[in-house]
Amino acid sequence: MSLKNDKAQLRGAAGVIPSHGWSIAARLTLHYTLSAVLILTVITILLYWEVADNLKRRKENYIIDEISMLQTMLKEPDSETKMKLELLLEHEARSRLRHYVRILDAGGNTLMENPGMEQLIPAAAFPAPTADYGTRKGQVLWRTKKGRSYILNSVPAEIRGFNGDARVLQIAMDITSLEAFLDQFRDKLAAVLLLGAGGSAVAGAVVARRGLLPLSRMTKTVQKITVNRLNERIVPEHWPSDLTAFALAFDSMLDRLEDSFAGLSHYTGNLAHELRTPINNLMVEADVALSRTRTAEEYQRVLGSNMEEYARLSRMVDSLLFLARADHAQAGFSPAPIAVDGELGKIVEFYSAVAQDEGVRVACHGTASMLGDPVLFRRAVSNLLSNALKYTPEGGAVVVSARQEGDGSVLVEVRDTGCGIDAEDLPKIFDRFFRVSSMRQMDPQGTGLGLSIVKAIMDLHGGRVDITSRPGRGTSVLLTFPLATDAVVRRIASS
Amino acid sequence: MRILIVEDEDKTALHLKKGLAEMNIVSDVSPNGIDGLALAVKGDYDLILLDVMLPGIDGWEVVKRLRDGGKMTPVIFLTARDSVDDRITGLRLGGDDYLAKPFAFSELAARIQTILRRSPVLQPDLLRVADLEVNFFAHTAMRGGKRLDLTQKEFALIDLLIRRPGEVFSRSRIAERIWNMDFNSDMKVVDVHMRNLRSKVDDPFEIKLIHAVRGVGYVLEER
Repeated sequence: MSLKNDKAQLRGAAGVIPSHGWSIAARLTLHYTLSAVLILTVITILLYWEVADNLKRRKENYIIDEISMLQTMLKEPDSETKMKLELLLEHEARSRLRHYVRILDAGGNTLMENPGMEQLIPAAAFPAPTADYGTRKGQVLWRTKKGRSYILNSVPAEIRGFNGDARVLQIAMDITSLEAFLDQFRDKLAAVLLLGAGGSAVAGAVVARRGLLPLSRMTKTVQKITVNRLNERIVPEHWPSDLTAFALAFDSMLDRLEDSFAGLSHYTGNLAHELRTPINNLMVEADVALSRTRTAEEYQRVLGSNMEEYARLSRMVDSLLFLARADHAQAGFSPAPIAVDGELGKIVEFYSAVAQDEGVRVACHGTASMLGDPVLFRRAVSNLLSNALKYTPEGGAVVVSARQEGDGSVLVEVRDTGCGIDAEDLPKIFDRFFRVSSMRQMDPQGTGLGLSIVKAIMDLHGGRVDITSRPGRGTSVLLTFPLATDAVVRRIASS
Repeated sequence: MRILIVEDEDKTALHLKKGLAEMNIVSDVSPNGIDGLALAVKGDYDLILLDVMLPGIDGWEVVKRLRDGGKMTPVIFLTARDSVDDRITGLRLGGDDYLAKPFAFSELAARIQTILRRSPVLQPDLLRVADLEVNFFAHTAMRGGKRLDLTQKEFALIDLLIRRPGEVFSRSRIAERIWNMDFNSDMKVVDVHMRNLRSKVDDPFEIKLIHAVRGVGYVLEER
């Protein structure tokens, strides 16, 4: 498949994936706006309250002051004249914050009032007189049909004037303009609130979009990465600190991907190479055999030799399939109790004939028991023993030993006095198809998969394999089987 | 005896037919699942060799329909799919055996004989091939009246071979049966063991009884 197609598919897939919920930008904008509105609302309500409360107290105090002044005025001897003057002049002078005064006698008849007061506020609208005018308790709010508002109060009065008839002082204050002011103030606050909300929504959207800009930039960078350009990285650019962690994680994922891609292509190359050798043997042999007529024995020999190559190919395929399965899951992993010493004894017995043949001493000691897959266990140990015997010259020795550790883990060691492995080859020894070049001649039939299989088996057991070697002195391979994990025990219980 | 081969790969089918013919077994070949099923239902076969991945209907389906129809002809699956799950599927559906490709023909021949001979195998106390005599009761082997000094494993080997004289045992089958090495291990090891056994059983005698079949394995027979 071409890269272009790959890319198109990626894009297509991204388009098809349903996105859950709102975009981050929308969410951020919503959050900004909501919190801005909330803060603005609280502030305006507090402000309105403060202003309204202040105004109210001022109005009340104004009336109280006015009553107190009138009382004082009325106590004076010429109160009547003064009062008249006061009512007329005062009323004319004040056009905005007007107040009205009325003086009643004991029978409720008007003795004096501001001109026109009768039409505005009838005497009956006032509350019963209370002596305590120093608080707002006696005050009454009164609205006329024309939409004007007044604060009313009445107090008993001791007056020398008016022939001593005056008994009640009624005072009204026109607060219409104050209320109108408060209403306007409220409307303005509401407008400010709306504007603020709108403004913060717009600002929030802009900020969110700008804030998320690095993300879309990052997306563009990531989109450039294809199988052929796995060496692209996103960190070198300067990302905000929030995104650096993500960028680093992404890059390390790319590192791993690049490694495994490199490993894969290396592996495929090796695989092709390893297949080539036996297939070449088969072709050459058949070709030569067919070049002229031969005896039946010769044909038999050729076919038999072919069978050996087929067996080698077949072994290779089996090993590869085993490794592929082990890579994926624990398919075919069936654990059971293993008496390690017994198993080691059997494996050593199997190889003893070969060892004897090659003049290598094989010893086996130690006891241990564990949970594991017996077939895989045998396979791992016999791979190691087979290797040890191959690379140990006549007169050498191979020791297979087992040890149970205090924590329940089991160590199995295969130690030989063979040719050893160069330090530079050691890290590659578990790679699939890796074969130490100097050893190729010693084992032409090998596949280079033996140790990979050992490693895969140890991985399946959750264990590890360690190899130490001194060239010319020998090699030691140590298998560490951890105490069977809960998962393994459960699997045994369920089977 | 008649065997039905259901296999879409011409070459494989041809080789199987040839191999069976040399065992004096007549066989018919069907290249797809539908014809194969029809033949299996109509014909009176002693055994069916069935590929799993077939055009038309696959091997699983063939066996299923065959068994549903009440036909109990033994079936050996021959397939490149060899995961444990596949094996289990094959046997659960009513297959009698399961052989993963690639396999040696000798291995298939042995399995065919096992299935066709499924009546209880006689467990004699004494078996004889030429002048080799194995007494299972006394756990001894004699040749030409002389007792052979065999180790336990060597006795197990001769036990394995003499119960099926003339049948070729592959190295992996030997390793599996005698040493429990049920994976493709180092096959050279079996050769060394067999060489040791032959040095005791055959080397001192004129007539050789244990023969290596190059590239395949070993057989015990009088030639």
